[in-house]
Amino acid sequence: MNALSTVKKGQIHTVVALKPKTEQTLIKLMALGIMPGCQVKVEQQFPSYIISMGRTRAALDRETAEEIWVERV
Amino acid sequence: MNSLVIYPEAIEQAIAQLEQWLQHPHPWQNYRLTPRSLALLLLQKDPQLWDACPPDFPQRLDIEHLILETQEKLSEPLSLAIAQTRQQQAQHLENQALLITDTPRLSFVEHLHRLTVNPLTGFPILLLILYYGVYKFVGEFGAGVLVDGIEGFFEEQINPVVDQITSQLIPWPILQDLIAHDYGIITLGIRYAVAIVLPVVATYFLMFSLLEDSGYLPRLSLMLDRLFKILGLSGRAVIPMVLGLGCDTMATMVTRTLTTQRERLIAAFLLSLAIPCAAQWGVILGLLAQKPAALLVWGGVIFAIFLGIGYLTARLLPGTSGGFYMEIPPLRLPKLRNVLIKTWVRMKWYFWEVLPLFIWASVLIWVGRLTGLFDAIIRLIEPIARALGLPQETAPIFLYGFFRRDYGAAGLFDIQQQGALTGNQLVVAAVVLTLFLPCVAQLQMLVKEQGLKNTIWMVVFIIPFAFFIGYVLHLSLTLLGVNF
Repeated sequence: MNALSTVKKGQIHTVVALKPKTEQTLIKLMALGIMPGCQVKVEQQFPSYIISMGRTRAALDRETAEEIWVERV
Repeated sequence: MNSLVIYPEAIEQAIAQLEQWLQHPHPWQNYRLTPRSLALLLLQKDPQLWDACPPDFPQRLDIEHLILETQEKLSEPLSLAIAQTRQQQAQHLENQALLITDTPRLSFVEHLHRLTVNPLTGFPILLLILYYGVYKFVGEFGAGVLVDGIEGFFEEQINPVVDQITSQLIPWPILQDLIAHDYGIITLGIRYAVAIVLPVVATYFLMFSLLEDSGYLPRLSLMLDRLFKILGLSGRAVIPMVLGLGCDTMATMVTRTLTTQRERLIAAFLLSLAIPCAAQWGVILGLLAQKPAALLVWGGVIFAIFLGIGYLTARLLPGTSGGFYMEIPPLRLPKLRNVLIKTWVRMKWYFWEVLPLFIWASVLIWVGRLTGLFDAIIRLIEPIARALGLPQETAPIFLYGFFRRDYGAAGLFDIQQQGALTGNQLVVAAVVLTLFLPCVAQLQMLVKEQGLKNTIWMVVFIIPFAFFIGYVLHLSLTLLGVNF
């Protein structure tokens, strides 16, 4: 299990856990469709993280990317 | 049960229990939701629903207890379990309905997306958009060409008529001044809202709606998030900051879209201190246009203060910046009709929001002049102006500049025309005017958004700070022997 902030670009990972500091962030991540079981791909890491899930794309800062735990598919 | 989504057993049991309770009178009767939807919202601890529940509602404790009980039976947070079930169902539906025959090829839009977010190409694109969209279109065309045209029309066609009618209808000069002449409600307040704010805001909203509908704004935010983190802000605050370059009053109002109070406070403070509005930087650019080095010093000082003070505020204020997460929609070609309607609706809304503020400004000036308060303040500023190496004729500019944007900068322009100002004095005056509170309308908006206490703190800091920086700049230029 790795934090999303540490995985390589282009690989597909499965989200296994969300550990945000605030309930508000958790709700926001879920609304973006980021939740355990979904598959994500990191597209870019600088200046912000850009990840894609299916046909959706989202930008995250490093702190948020550190709160998403993933496993290599 | 004919529901489309079936939740885990523990949640379904809780829903059934809640549905039963909700058959009796409850505080959410007027929500027009099915009992099942209400039950699900309650289980997700929807803040609006819970706020509407009076503490003495007999079943409140029962419901709270039920939620705790249900949570204990689940391994993940209740709201997550609900969201996950929905996601699975959506995925299931999609798999049934959608047949993917081909792997998507890299389209033009996808290439464009990559260009806008790749640091190597994204930052130049960002600068180009700000240069043409904000500087050229809003600054030079809106705040320059359009403002000059509409203001000229007011000064030649409307103001003389108003002055004449007022002098015929009202015999007392004091009351005449309230309506007409240099600072009247019609000749200043309404002229200001129509001739200065309206063209700036119209061009700004047009550009903004275009960027918004093209899907570029989230990309702007993600490109600048890291820079804004230094200032205790997040990428979301890019929007009010860029708006501030159009109109600080509008931008101060837009800070309410930021997620934490800390971020709203920092954004409102930086807007008041270091973001010049289009009316302001329009004239300053004109003043310093012949002296590129002086212009560079002005820009450098303001940008350094923006970063430096932002950094210090972020360190001094307790708390951390809110996390940044944002959906990135695909880039699209904006539909002109939508852009125009949106621009029109926003302009209308904004105009009615600021018109009273400008009318108030006229009344304040009227009271200030009538009571002699303004003269007293100007006499206080005169020694400060001299300490900054400025002629004392510049003192009224700082006071009136706060009420009439054009008076501040245009007054400077007049004095410069007479050849009474050196290049150094122009830079010092321009820096102080920029750091000074943007205008009286913005101050009123600040009170509305941040409350009186925070506003007073900001004002107490900003006014001496503006003069102090002017003093330091004057001293440095003199000591270094720089002459623009």
